[in-house]
Amino acid sequence: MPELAARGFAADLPPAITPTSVRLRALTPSAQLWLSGDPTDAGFVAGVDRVLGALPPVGETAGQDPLLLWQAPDRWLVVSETRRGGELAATLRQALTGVHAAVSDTTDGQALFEIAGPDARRLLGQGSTFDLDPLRFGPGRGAVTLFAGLRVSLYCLEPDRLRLHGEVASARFLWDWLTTAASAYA
Amino acid sequence: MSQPRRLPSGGFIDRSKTLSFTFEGRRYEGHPGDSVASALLANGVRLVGRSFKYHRPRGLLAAGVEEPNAILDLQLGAHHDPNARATMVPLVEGLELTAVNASPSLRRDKRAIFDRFARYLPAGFYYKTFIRPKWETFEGTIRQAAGLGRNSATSDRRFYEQQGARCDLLVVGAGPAGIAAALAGAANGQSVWLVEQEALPGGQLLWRDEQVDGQPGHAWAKAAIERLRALPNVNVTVKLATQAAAYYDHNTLALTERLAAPAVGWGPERLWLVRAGRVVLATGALERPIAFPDNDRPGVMLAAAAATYLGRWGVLPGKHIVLLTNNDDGYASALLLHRAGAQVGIVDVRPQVDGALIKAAAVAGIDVLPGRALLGVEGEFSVTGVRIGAADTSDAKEKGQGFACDLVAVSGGWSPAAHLFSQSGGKLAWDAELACFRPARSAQEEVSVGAANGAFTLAAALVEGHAAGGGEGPAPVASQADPTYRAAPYWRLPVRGVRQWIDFQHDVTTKDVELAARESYVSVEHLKRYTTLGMATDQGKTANVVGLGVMGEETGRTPGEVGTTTFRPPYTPLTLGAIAGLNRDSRLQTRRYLPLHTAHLAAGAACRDYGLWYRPGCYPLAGESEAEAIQREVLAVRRNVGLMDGSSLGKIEVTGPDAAEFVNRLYYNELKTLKPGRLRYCLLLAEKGTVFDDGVVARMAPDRYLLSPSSSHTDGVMAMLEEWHEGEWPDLKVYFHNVTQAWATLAVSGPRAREVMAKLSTDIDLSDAALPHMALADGRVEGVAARIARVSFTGERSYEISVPTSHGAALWDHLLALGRFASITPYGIESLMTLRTEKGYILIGRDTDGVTLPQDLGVTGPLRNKTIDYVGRRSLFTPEARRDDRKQLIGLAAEDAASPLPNGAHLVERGPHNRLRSLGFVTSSFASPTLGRPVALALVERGRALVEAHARLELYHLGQRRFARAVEPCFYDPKGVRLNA
Repeated sequence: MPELAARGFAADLPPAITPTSVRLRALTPSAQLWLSGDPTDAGFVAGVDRVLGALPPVGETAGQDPLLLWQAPDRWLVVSETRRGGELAATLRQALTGVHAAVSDTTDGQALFEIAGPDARRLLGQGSTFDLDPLRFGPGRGAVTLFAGLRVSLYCLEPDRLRLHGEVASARFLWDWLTTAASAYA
Repeated sequence: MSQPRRLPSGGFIDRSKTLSFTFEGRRYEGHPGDSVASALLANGVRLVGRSFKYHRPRGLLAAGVEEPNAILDLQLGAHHDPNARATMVPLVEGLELTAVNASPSLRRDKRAIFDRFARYLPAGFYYKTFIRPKWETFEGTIRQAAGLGRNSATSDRRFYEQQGARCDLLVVGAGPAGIAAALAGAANGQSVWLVEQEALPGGQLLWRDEQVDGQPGHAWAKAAIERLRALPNVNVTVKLATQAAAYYDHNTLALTERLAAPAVGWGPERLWLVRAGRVVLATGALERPIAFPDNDRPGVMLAAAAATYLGRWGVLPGKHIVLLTNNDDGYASALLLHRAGAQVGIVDVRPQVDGALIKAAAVAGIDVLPGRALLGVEGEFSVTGVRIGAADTSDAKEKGQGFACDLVAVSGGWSPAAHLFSQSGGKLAWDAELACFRPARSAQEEVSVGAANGAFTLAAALVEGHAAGGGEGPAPVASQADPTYRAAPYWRLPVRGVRQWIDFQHDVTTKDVELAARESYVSVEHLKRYTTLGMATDQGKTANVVGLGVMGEETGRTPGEVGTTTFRPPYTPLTLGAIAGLNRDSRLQTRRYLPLHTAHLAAGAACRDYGLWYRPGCYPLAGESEAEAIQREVLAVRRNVGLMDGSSLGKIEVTGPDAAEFVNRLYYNELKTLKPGRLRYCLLLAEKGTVFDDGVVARMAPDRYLLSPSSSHTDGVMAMLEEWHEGEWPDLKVYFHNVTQAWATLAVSGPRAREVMAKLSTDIDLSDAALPHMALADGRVEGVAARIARVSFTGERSYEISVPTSHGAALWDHLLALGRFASITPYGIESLMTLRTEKGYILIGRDTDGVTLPQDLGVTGPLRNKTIDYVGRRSLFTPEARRDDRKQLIGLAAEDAASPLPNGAHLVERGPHNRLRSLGFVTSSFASPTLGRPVALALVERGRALVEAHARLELYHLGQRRFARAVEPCFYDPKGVRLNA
């Protein structure tokens, strides 16, 4: 029997008309997980490393796919564009058996936006007072902060390419904000 | 010559290009580099406006941000500014300017007659005069008569950009001190922001004849800025035409940048929030006027302003100038004006003047009259002469000696522009020697330098700035020896009972301050409110210190003893657009959409905002009203089956070996005994015992719970979990994940729900034995991961099916198709409200208020049986919590079945003289199609006793009386048999 069809949040967004100096994309990664654990617990660190191929970072991102995004002293967002959320969560839970840790599948709960181009940082600066100076927020750096008044996970992939995760129910609001702000650079 | 006051050379304007503009319908010309004010003055325009209260003719007083008079209505294409300060607006081609507060014309203003009745309009006159019958009777007329401009009829649809930035060193003001600080900071590798309110750097170097490092001051400033901008490997940002408007905590300053060429659709101002490691305030100083009779006539101008128009724009504002001063610096301005060809005479209020000053003036050919002051001026629309007399004249009848002149320049001494310093929390102190308030004690990582610190000489400013920037080695050098600066605290002609202007923009005079003193409004805060001194849009930049000085004289105190009022942001006005930024219209606040929003619209949903969520209220059919739709949907759930999107309901996972202990300490209800796979309805209390949220808690596994807070409380509950774990019980091993939006949740509810569910393809055993009411199970539904819970907010047998959000829309369509045989009906929140009210199920925040305790709702089991110390417990046993007149939840059965009782209606008792006293209020009231009569819940004093007595209660609402009986708060199926039907 065919399973229920999937419809990602991006399907509901109007197309973006953006200037050449900044490009906006809505992305639907195949896995997003909340991961909690004690980074000083060797068992936790080893389990994470075994499954995700990276150590849980502090104040920055680690790995590429899956990517580990620091959220709080004991919490991370795991993002993958190749693995399935349910499968990755199960594998992680398995690897962390006997360790005090928590894994939750939030693949469909977070919208992901990519902001790229020479004006990417200025655009993000319109909605956040976070320090986006490339000297201090370069590739590999990540933060949980407010953008347009909403809690978001923000990180830098390349000097001119940044990504932002926010709650999926506010995807339209974030998209409205991002596309409107981009018109300043037309 | 079209610009009669413009000199053939001098100033920072481009004479090779001409710009044309209009003022009051007349066409004028100016040059690039001009401000609107300098261009008007170059054209000989003296009269620029009418005053706020007395409608007196007014001219330019100042040349910068402190200008109180020249507030103009500005139109440029579609751009409109109803109150532009002429001194701060760069002249551009095509500006159309008109005066404000003048009708029908600036010269023939019909309200100028107010000035004749001035004796009846003293400070606070409206408080005394317009109290009968009531203030509102007169308010419209008074507001019409006063004011400084008319707002646009249309709203500004442009976007305004906001930006944040960080730096090591933020220097406010690019005068000599600020530039020296920025140069020093950049030289030692700091990231530096240098901001300047004017379009050109240099501050007073732009018009004073002074040299730095062997160069003319303005050239040194220009070169320094170029050097700063060109520095390699150093992060330096220089922003000209940028106003530091506010100084907040954490060394955060708000700056407004004026944009010459904003993007299409974007406004001309950009707001910056800059957070700096260290702040240098090099904001300069503001010259004060001296009060004397008619000192507000057009042609009475601050001395430094006259010198500024000359030096910066090549405009000589007068040819025959009388310069009144109480300080040494007035002589510098006099010399500048004299050298440009004006005939200047100095009137110095000080009886003893330094011989060197008099000598220098004499060498230049300037006469000095010491110990004299101005007793008045001649001329209405423009000064034609002055009357000079002894500076200590106290007789109002004394006329003095007349002199003809066309400009009166006034130097009342300098006040450091300490506004930002004061906003930062810094404390000011009175300096008697310099006769000004100076920064005394900083509250943040900040230092004031140069004139902003009372260092009024160039050499001192350069040294202070250099040091503040962390400069090593010698500071930039002022090439000529500075004169010393001394000022006398001479604020006004010591004649009482005669209007001498202090606050030009709000028309506050010495008479008003004298009146305030007589009526005991002697505190500086009372002085301000009673007279409105310093409360206009210029915030009293030229007025405050003079007003404090006069109040001091009236009460035998020094200005330091009088003290200052609090300086508040912004330093200068900024557009509301810049404050709002993009946070307006649809971007003001998020609107959370359900994952199935598109499907709801397709089903004809009428959506509304419920908290942040935008949800279907109901689904009206063609030709059906919303009220009819609600009735139909309610009956469908009661008789057949309904389908509802409950995706917004919270889902928080609590995981860890101590999860049971943690949730048990947190919730009112016992949760340790809950078995895996089972649910319990629970209340969550705030620390003060009041009900904060309710919801179902599920135990997924021995070490895993799933909380379902109500839609609007999920974020608050998540924050509460974090707070109690971090702050109170960090030893408990537990983690929280909010997965609310990862799952779409659809509720199938009604007597035929079981038949619909039987058609669903799932590996979950749906039998009542395996999945009874208040149980849940994980598995797969139609091939995707899913969870099914038996939980009901309608009172009917219900199944809540959760699938990953992206599959929600497909599941909705699938269930509608599967349930067609049973006429499955989508129902919205409004229908749910009726359903749950029929059952007496409460909605926290609607059927409770901020003081409702669980026992007020009749939920007393845990109160009696749960012995451990859970959140809010201790507050449930206080005397307040035990009062027998607490408001308690009851049901209301209306005596007449005409219409639902009004929501919010008060239940009242009648006391002596038929006076009504509220006993409580209706919280939820609906027409019940199930019962064919209205149902309602209410919070009422001694509610339980009223129910037991089946009491008849009077309701009062907007003059209407209704009667109802107190009944149990459950109107339908009180035994709950339908949950398992």
